[in-house]
Amino acid sequence: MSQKDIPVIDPNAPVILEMQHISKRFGAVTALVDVSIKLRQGEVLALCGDNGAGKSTLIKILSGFHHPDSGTIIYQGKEVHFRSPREARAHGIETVYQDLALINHLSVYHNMFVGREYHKRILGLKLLDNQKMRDLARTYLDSLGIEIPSVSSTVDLLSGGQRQSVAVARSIYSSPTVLVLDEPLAALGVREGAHVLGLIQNLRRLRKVSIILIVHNYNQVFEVCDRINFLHSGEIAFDATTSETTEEELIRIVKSGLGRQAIAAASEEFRDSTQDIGPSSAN
Amino acid sequence: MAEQIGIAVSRRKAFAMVTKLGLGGAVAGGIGTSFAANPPEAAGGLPKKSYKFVYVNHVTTNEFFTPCIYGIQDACAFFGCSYQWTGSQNSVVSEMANAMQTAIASKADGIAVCLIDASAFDAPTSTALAAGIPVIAYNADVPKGSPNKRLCYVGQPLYESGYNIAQRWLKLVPKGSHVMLSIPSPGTLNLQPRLDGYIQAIKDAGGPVTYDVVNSGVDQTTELSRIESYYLSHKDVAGLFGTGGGDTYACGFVSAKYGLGKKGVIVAGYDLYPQTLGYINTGDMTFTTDQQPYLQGFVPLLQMYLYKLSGGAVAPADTNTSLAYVTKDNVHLYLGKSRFEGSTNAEPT
Amino acid sequence: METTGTSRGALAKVGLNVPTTGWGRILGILSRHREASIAVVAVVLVIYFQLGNSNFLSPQELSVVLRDTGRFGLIAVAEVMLMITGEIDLSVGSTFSLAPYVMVLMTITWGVPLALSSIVGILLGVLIGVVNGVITVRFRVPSLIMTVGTFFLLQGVVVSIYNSQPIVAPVQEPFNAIFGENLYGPTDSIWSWHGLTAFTPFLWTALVIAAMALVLNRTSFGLHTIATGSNVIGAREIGIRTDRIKIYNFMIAGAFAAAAGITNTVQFASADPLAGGPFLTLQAIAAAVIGGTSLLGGSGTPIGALLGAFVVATLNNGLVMMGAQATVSDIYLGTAIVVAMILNVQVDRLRARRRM
Repeated sequence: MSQKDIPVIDPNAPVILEMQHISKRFGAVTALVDVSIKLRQGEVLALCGDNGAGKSTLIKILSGFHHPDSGTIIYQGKEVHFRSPREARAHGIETVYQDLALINHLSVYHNMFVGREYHKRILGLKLLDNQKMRDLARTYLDSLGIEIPSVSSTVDLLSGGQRQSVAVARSIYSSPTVLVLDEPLAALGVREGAHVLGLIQNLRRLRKVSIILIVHNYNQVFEVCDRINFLHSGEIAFDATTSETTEEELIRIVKSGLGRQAIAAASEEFRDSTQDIGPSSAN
Repeated sequence: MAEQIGIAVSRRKAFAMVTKLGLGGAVAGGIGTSFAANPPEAAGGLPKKSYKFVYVNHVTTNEFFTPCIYGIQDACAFFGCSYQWTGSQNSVVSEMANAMQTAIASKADGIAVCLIDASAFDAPTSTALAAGIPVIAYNADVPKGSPNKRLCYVGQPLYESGYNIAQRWLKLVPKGSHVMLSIPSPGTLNLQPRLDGYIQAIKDAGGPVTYDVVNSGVDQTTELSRIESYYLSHKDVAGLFGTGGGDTYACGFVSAKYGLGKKGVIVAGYDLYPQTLGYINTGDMTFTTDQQPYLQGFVPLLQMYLYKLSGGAVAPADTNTSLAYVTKDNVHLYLGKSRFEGSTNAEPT
Repeated sequence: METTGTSRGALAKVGLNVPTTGWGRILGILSRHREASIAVVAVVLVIYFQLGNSNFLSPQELSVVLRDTGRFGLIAVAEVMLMITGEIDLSVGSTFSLAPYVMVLMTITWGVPLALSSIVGILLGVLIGVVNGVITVRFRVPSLIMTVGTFFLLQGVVVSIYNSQPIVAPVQEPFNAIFGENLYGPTDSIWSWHGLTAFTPFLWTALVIAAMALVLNRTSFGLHTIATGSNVIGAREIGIRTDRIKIYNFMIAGAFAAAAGITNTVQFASADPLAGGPFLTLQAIAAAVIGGTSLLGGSGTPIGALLGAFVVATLNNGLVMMGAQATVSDIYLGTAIVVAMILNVQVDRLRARRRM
């Protein structure tokens, strides 16, 4: 995937979202100990970590589904407390969960607009304006390059990649400020995953939306992300831009256990061994 | 019928009996459904005893038994006893057998039960009797020759009633015509014998009519629809005969709607639903029968009380609560509000 | 949902099957509308019974069948809305009895006109719905179990008022005529005023069902109802107030059950505490299911409920007309319901295959 026309993130770009010292427990299980992340305007941030590391919990706190036990969220310079997913959405933070939250029994266009439907008045009754929603959905999906034969078919008939695309399209329709995607490529094959990656890359190119991406595949991380945060033992154990590191180093760090000292040691070892070659420019 | 030591007891006779035993005059109100005890007082004659009697019924919420409950209440008030009305709502035999077991375990002083099954109640009956608890069957009885050890049966002899009723209407229906017999729940012991009586009477008369047996269904609105549908598809029917209270009312309803009474169709059956009485009054229905459900509540309690009081010396006796026919001539006696018919819970003055 | 809105050419280009033969077109219609399968079953039954007894399609018999259809249909559509959200209400039978009983008591005891006391009856049904709904969502009790409890509770209440005694309901015009006193007599023409009242219970139900079909398919409330039943967690994540949606649908169910009971009482001028029992509830649910509403939630059809009610009513009455004898008639009824169900599922499969 070409990285040539992707504008670089301005290091002085404003921090649009900051989560400071977030902690969360569920009964006896501590999901997050002390997590702090920073997301800059237009940035695509990869959030990685083992299964059960707490990634989903963190984004659920961001989206208002859970409340943190301690810590603060600073959004667009102001401290916020989201009491519900509605509130988070109202502030411009859209989340696409792993289960996609798609309504199988509804059509594509209804899924796009559920919760914010368009109405028309007939004989004093407020009825759904299905024609308008169909047209808008068709236009929007076309503009994003998403191929769906008929917006009237129910979403249970779509392929995994199409479903994912519809879910993402639904989230960005309202022009959110922050978009969170929880493992968008998890259930997809190579071809379908490529479509979705392309969609993310398009968004990155425009540098309008700031994106947090939960992803396991490091290849994908380096394709579409600007920065990577590693969540381990309830903390952010590693934070670097994708230009500062490479896939190999990442793998090495993970293998060595992700303790701070281990990271520092592995990083140094890596730099020593690649001194003559320089950072990889495989793209 | 000859083997039974039967006494046909009318309401008036029941009260006369009680008065002869010196129990005094009218009673005020009834007691509630739980075991509320009354303080024993000598009321000149028989003492009030706080016996607890359990009535196990197969259709506990059916309006037919409302006067039965009033009969129980009045007898309880008289003798200072208390009662529990329990069993099944939908003729579920296992629920009723369980209710009997519960009564035995809680050491009830007597059990009255509708024997709607030929054998399911034999074991609980024997257990109760072995524990010294008298068991009386009311409203429905086991067939002749059954090993069930209940002490007596209070009610209408089902098969005989069906037979007699059929004999009566066979005289009114033209030979060679077609009639409808209906039954709400085929097979149950309180209804099937009546139907069997109908069918046997037709056979014994040499088969003068042809008939269809219709399953009228388990709820009132279904009965109304099915019987109406039957009539609409068999407009030449000469008679509509029910075996239960609800389907009899439905037959009357259809008769009234289509003016069958004036066309000479004979409509008859069982029990005294208020609408049924209305149809007899207007001539839409020919006759119905009175099983006297009030007595089916009053008499068993009276008998169980005497049995307990006398230590078993005064034994319960089979009681035929009569096969009174209600026709246009005497229906006026039944119209109006009466506690004995269940149409009001106010005591008579 | 429909697969309209795109030209055949576009569909063909992406490889979707486009029928061109007559048979293919018929199957196409069948596949688009889930109600088509139950409509076929209904037509088959009508032909069968009419052939068996030529009185079946007479206006008088039709008024009986449609009277039953109206009764089952109104309760069935109440269940349809709830079943779409993934819940069910088994207490509708006792609401069916209690609401008119209270209504008649008010009229007889305090002289309230039927028109007003009937509104009280319906509000009572709504209240029962609120109780059912709130306990189901707040306390997370499965509605299947919970409404059984409500059923017994309410039935106990209505029976204990007057020891199971039905009350004769007063007849008040024009209320009775509007809601179906069923004045249609054997000598009346079907086109007379009385002829219309023969069908008013059915017409009211049909009106309500048409309204619910509109609500379900063309309003936000309907959309959210489907969403709640299809994916309750996802719907919540989107921001739909699933708890409220469920409670509103319970309220609708209660109101409809009360309305059905009230029209039934007005029909026969008798408020029977046992008018609505498990038999009525089961038949209404059977009507909803064979009409095409899924027990799993997420999809349902009010029109299908009406057709399903018609099928159940036809079976009930048609079998009697065909001379099914008492002891075996339930066998036929049960078998017929099973067969109708199997037919429906098979046509459903056909639909799903064609859309793939």
